Amino acid sequence: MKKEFNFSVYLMYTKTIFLSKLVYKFDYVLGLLNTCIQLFIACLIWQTLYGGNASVEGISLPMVITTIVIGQGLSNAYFINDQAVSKLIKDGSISFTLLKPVSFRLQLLAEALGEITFRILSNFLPAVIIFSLATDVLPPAGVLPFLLFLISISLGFGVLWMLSSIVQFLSFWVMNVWSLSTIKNVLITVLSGAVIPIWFLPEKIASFVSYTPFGAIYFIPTRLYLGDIPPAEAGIYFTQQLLWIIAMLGISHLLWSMGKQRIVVQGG
Amino acid sequence: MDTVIECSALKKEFKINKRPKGFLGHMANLIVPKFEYKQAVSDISFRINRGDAVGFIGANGAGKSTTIKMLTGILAPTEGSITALGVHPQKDRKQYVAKIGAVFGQKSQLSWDLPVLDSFYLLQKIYQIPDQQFNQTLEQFTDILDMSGFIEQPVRQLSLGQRMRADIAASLLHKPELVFFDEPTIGLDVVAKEKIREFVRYLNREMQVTVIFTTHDMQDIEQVCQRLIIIDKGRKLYDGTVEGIKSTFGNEKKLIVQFESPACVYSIPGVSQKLKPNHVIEFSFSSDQVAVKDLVQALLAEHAVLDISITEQGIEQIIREIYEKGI
Repeated sequence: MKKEFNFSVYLMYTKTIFLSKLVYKFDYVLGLLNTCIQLFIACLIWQTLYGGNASVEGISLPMVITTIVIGQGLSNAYFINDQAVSKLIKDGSISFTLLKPVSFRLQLLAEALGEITFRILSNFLPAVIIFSLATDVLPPAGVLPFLLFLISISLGFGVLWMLSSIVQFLSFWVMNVWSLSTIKNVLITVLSGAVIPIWFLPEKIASFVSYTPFGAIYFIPTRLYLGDIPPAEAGIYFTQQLLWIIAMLGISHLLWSMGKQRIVVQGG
Repeated sequence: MDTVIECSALKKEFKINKRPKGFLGHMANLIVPKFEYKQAVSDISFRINRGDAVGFIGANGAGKSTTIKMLTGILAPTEGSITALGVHPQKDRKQYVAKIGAVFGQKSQLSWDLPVLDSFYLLQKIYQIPDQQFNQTLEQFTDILDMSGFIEQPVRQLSLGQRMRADIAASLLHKPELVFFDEPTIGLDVVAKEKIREFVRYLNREMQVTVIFTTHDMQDIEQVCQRLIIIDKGRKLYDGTVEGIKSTFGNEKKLIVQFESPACVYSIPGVSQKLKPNHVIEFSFSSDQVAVKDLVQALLAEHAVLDISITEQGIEQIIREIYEKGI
């Protein structure tokens, strides 16, 4: 029998989560406020650090602010619950999930996308508009850089999702993945360039980052947006992002295939 | 006949972390964890044909639920093989689960905060049930399971009996060929139990759905199932008809005789005696060793008898003895 892929089922999962988020209006206002405060503080710090200089090491202040708004703003919107699988295992509801003729991994992704779409619309985009009006957020370097940015930011999300899925599937071995998840998130915060643009990292650390997937999440897309990477070179960076996705998909797939043999249904 | 499930030499082992007692023990365990293996299922093989209604019974912890979870493709067996509906339940999971249904009495698959009907619509999407078929099935189930009174209420407001009926309907909307019921009557009152049995019977006899049923209530088994599988300590103890178990294990009969005056009956080979008040003696014997007729005749010939009654073992009693002593 042919395996049928039915997109509408996954779309339904995304929609269900998206709609359920609309219920909590207060939550959404606070989320936006939270993002604005964080971005505001970061902008202030960088303004102080620049101390009136037009540019430091060839990087202008508006470039930094743009990087911060895109990177940190998106990282607030990319809400991924690394403990989703471990919760399903803990309360035993994984049995019902596995009894549905739906791909488990795509369902997880679809549900995460529901929440993320909501946060991008309610949280990220308003914050971008507010900061564009209030500070010097740069417009994209052109139409082509902007389109390349859109492709690259989607690939960047892929990289982030694969990192998370590796942590999630480790919960077949480690019941509580909270600490793993925290370590991963700290590494992303520090090394992805969302807080400190990678231009300013010490050379050794910067070259280390280029061997990790972290720079592929926000920093490559932002550089394309700013035109810091010429559109002609975009292909190399896309390949880099894609290779990270493929490599981590391999690991995640291996963990899932081995892990599902170990599923224990708790509580009768 | 058409085979629906075939499994051979199923085995499931769980690794259990064995913690020594006390604080030091916990600390030692962190550094050098000790594990022991517990066999939930040691060696189970059977074959189930299309249209069967099979009762799965066993004491708590006998391995019933583990076996069911392996058959539904949720758990991977440590050893052994399962073929169900012609596929490998875990490898071809999506294809397989589209054709089966499962009801777990202890857990609900319905969304807690949503009205029952909304959960049903969600399932319609997941299983891609055509509108016409969905509406028809829904109408039919609402009628038989008597759900019209609560179908628009959120699940958290339902009684256990109502929730169970809604859960059963939910797992059958996509018209599965094979349905697992894992203790569907647990905690229900007599009327609610009866409704569920009736429905399962209807499903099996009228709609030719293959049913696998686990329960602790022997009446469920007697009323729903033709075939019985008894599992104990991860092994299959009995596999045969429900009547068969009565004739195989339930051949112990009791003859209760009330005498006019205190009587002393000589011991008869194969018959044990128990003295009860009011000059009553209870004779227990196995019906294939001693004929009732001979025993009664012998007693009547020598004693003045007021009353005689004969009892046979019920299935409940047979099962209890099997759980306690084994076969």
